[in-house]
Amino acid sequence: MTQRLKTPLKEDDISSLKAGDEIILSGIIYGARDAAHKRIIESINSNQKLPFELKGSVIFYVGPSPVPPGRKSGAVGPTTSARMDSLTEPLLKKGLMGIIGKGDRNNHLRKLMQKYKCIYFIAPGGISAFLASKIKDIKEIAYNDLGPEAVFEIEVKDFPLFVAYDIQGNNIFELALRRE
Amino acid sequence: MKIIKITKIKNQIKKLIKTASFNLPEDITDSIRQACSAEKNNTAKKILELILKNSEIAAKKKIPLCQDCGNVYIDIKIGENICIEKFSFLQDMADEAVAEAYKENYLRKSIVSDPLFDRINTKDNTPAYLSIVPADTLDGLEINVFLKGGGSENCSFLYMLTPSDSADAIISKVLDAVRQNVTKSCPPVIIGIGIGATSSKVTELARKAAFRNLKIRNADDKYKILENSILEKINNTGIGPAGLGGMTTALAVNIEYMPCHMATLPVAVSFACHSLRRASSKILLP
Ligand code: SF4
Repeated sequence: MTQRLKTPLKEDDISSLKAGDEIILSGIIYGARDAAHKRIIESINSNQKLPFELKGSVIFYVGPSPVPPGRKSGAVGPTTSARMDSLTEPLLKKGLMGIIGKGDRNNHLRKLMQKYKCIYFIAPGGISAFLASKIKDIKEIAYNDLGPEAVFEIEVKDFPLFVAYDIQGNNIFELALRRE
Repeated sequence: MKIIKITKIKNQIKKLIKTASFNLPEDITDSIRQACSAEKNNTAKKILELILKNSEIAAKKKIPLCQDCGNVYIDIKIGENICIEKFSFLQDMADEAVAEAYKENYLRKSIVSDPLFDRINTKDNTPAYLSIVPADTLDGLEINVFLKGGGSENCSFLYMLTPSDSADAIISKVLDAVRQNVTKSCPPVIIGIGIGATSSKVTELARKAAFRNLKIRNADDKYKILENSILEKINNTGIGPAGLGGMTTALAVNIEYMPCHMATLPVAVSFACHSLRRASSKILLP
C-alpha cells in the first residue's frame, strides 16, 4: 500500500503502517549520523538544549554532499543504520517517531523501536541524485565543525520510502525473504 | 627515456574523479538494465529503474551518484622507459588533485584525520590511496581511479583458510558474509573475491576484483565456474535490491587470484555497491 505522510508525525499516523508499505513523505526531517548522535546524547545527558525537538520528529541518517551553486540540494541518501544501533535509545526516550536509513539493525534495537513506537523507514541507497530532486531546502543547523556529519534541517516533498519495521514488530527484511 | 610531466598526471586524476562521480560506467548500467528486465519482483524492478534514472540525473545535473563520494584509490601503471618528472612528489600531487576535484565538483569530503581518537574531517578528502605498478606492455601511463564508499567498505572480510579447505569453504564464507551484511551495502552489489597471495595482498586483490569490468570474466575456467556458481547462490537468497526481495542481490562475482605460501589459503571479500565509481585513462607516448 502507498501512503502519504507529513512530519511531524503523530501516533495515529504510524500505528496502522505495515512493514513493506510504500510511503511518500513530506515536511521537515533532520539529517544526523554517527558524530551528531554522540553530541545529541551528550546534550541529553547534561540537560542541554537540543538542536531540534525530538518529539514526533523523523531523523534521516545522512551525510549530504555540498549544495552546488544554483541547486537546491547536493546528493542525499541513507547511510548504514546499524552503526547507530547503540546510539538510538536516548533519542527514542525523547519521543523520536521515525528514522530513515538503510539496512537491517540488531534485534535489541528492533525491540526498542517497537517499545517506544518509532517507525523505521528505509530509502534505497545510492539513488542520491534522484532523492536530491525531492528536496526543497537543506540547511546546516548545528555542529558545523563536523562537516557532513553536522545536523541538517531538510525540507522534503514526496520523498519515497518503505516501512522497514512497523510498530507491531514486523520486519521487511524477513518478510522479503519469506516471499521469495 | 620519455618524460611525463607530473602536472599532466594531476589533471588526468582530477578529470577521472569528476567522470567517476557523475557517470555510472556502461558495463554497470548494461548489467542493471538486464537485471531489471529479468526481475519478477515489482519492488525490485522499481528500485533498479530508480538506479538507472539516478544515473541519468547525476550525469545531467552534475549531482553525485551517491552522497558518499568515497575514498579515492589511484592505481597508476607505468610502461617501459617512462620517467615521471618529480616522481617523489607523486603522493603530494595526487592529494592535491583529490582536494581540488572534491572542492570544484562539490563532492562530499568523508575522510577523518585520526582514525581512533580525534576523527576530525580533513575537509579535502585526502589522502589518496596511491599504488604504482610497472607495466611492460604499455607505451606510456595508465591511470585508474576508483571511489569507494564507507558502507560497502565496512562489509569487507579477510579469512585465513587452510590449504585443506576446498572451494566449498569459500562459497560458504562468502554466502555468510552476504547474508549478514549485504543490506548495509546497498544491493545490488558486486562481490570481489581475492584468493591467494598474503593476508595484506589478498585484500588488494579483492578490491581490484570488485572494480573489474563486469564484461571481463575469468580466463581460467575453474575460476569462471566458481564465479558463476557463487553469483547464482547469492541471487537465490532472494534478498534483492535494497534488501526488499528479488533475484538481483549481486550483479557479479569477480575473482582475482595469485600464488600463495604452501601453508596458507588467504581469502578476502570486498563488497562494491551498484554505485560503482571508476574511470580510467591513458597518457600514451609511443
Ligand atoms: S554503499 Fe554505495 S550506494 Fe550505498 S551509500 Fe555507500 S557508496 Fe552509496
